[in-house]
Amino acid sequence: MAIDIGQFVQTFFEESLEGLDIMETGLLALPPGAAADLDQVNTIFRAVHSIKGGSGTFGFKEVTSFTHVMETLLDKMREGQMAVTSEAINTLLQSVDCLRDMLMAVRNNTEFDAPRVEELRKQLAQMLDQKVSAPSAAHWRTPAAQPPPVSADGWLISFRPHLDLMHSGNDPVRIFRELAALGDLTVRPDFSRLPRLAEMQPEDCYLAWDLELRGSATRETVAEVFAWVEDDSDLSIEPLLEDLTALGSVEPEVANDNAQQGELLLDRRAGDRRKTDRRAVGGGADSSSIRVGIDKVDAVINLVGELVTTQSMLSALGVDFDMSRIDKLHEALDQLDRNTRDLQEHVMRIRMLPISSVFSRFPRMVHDISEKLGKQVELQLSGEQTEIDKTVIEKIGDPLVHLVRNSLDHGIEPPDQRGEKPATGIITLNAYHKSGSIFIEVGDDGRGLNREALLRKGLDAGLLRPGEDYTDDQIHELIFHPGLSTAKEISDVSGRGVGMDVVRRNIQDVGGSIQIASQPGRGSKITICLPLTLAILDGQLVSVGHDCYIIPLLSIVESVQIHAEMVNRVAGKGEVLRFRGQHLPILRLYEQFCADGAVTNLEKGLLVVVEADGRQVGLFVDDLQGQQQISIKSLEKNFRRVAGVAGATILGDGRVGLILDISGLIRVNNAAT
Amino acid sequence: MATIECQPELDIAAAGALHRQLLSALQAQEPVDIDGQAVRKVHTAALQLFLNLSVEARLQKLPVRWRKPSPALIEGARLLGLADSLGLGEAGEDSA
Repeated sequence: MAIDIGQFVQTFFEESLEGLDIMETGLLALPPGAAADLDQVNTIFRAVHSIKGGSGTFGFKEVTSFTHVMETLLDKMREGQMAVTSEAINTLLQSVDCLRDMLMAVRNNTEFDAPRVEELRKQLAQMLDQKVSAPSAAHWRTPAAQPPPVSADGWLISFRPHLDLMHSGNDPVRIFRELAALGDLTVRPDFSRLPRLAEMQPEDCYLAWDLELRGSATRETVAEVFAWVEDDSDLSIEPLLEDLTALGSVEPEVANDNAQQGELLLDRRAGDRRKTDRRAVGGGADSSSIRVGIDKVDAVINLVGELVTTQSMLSALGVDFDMSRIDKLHEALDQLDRNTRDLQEHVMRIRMLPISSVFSRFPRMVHDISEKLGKQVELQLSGEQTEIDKTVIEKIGDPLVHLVRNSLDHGIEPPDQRGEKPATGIITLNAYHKSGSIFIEVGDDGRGLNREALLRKGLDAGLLRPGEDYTDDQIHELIFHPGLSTAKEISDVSGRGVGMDVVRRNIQDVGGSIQIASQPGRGSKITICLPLTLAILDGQLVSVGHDCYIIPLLSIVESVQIHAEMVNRVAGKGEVLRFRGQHLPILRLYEQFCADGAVTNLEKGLLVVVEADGRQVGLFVDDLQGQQQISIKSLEKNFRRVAGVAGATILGDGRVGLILDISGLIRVNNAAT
Repeated sequence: MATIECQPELDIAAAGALHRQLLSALQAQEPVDIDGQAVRKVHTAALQLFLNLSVEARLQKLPVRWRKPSPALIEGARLLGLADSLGLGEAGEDSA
């Protein structure tokens, strides 16, 4: 069977990037100075090992040789021959970054930073030279740390496939063909496991081989040929020496010695996953692909089955319809409605990814920045498995980075300024679902916002009026104002005064909102509220003149009928409604959108009270229509951006309905008054 | 005589069908002829099946004969070190 290996390259990149994340997380969790946590080091080792194997198969030689040195170092650590120092961890972390750049460069067909790679390789090699202990322990599992090379005339290879080797697309014919190209190959098959023809599973591999390869091929080259099957077989590659007594001076690598067997068993898990993924991804995957659990796909298939049943029911009704069957029709339509909703919900779930993909970048960031700032910071993550739409995930990464940087730079104090609090500051990142939205909290136990400084800045900038009383919330809101930063010194971490306004805008762009709570000396907590998805929303249809608009259901507080005596006109502030003890600005939608034929008498229409960013406004409309789920189409792509409009949708009767952007409308209203 | 006509692509997907074909050929208790001229690609799984057929046929003293084995078939057998056992060594053609 011919295998187009190119189809696996994309999978290799995706898995390698995941592997790098695993390495980074593992390295950050390794306590320096202590005896190496074997599980943790093994995890990191396996990640490097897989990247090395994959890169060898695809011929990415630079990646193979770089990972090789990393692997050797980690091997020494797990064998206890090398201590886990903070220097080693930092160098390995830098190597992870370097490897990531190399992989991206290989993927994008660009040049990577070769001097940096070389420099790091040297550093790693130096560490190996210093730390490798007595030569008595010199297993030469990897050539970089091996004793002087033995002059071999070739290699003796024992290749004993596991029964399932061929299940994942591997074929010894292909492997041996590659091997034959490296030198003079003699093949001795072993039939001892062969069962009776009637008893054999045709796709299992019962054969094993002893191979003799003569020629100048290096061990590494030979090992590369077997890279895809090392998890699926017992393999040993020994030098072929004419003078067999020389063997006594070298302890060759035997893949199934006890120590390595443990590793192989552990590696199998990774190998199994790789096999599954290879099948799942198939050809033509691109970087915008997502991995979907089979249970989610099965759920959709089940729902499609139900939909088909409903459709047959409706078709049967339509063949010979009379009014006596109207109840049946209603019933079938209700079922169709349920099926459609369920299907939509489940299809949306396919796009949902755990927020851990965003959170995972923070441990490294907090580690690096806190070291740079000389602060002691512990990052606590919770709710990493909270699922959120892929599009939203892509857009909140940067705002979150900014918020965490702010907490590190401005929030958490240096250890000597933390007073009675523990010297180690805590930054928390938490995500959870609540009432149809996703909440993400970024908290710290630092100094909190400086109310006085903000107040002064607000007054200086003319945003606040002297002598007036402002609540904490109103003062805290100022940090979202463009150009306001209370940091005394500008650092390269944050504090250039650009940021919080951009953060808020980014979050509003995905239909979310952001709020801050802060207590002096005790810390701050920023809460971001995001919609579950950007593609569908539950909407309230309202009529204004001849048009129909959609108000996101989540922003609606209530709808009220207006009595003239409840309305006041305030100079410079338009109309307000005295409502539940407060004054609610009234925004006439027909004026906003120049709609013809609308109700203009306040008493004859309805006021829909909506809320966004902690502010309420009343939208005056003619009447309410139904509520329904709305599929959002971009107005910007199909027409142009319109202030106060978040998007559009096609209504049941084929007309276009505009979806209102409540935050935008409130901003427009504020600007006008 | 039972004749087996090989598919052009004897890949792992074809192994199940080939297995059934070989089993029924063996059950016929007659000499087996394998026509391998069409084979363009051959997988270890297929060669392993032919090997098993040869072993069992030998035990049952049934001759197995290749008819025009293709170069791909011979190359695959040689790579796996099975050419002699399969009767595909040397000329590889019309050998019993």
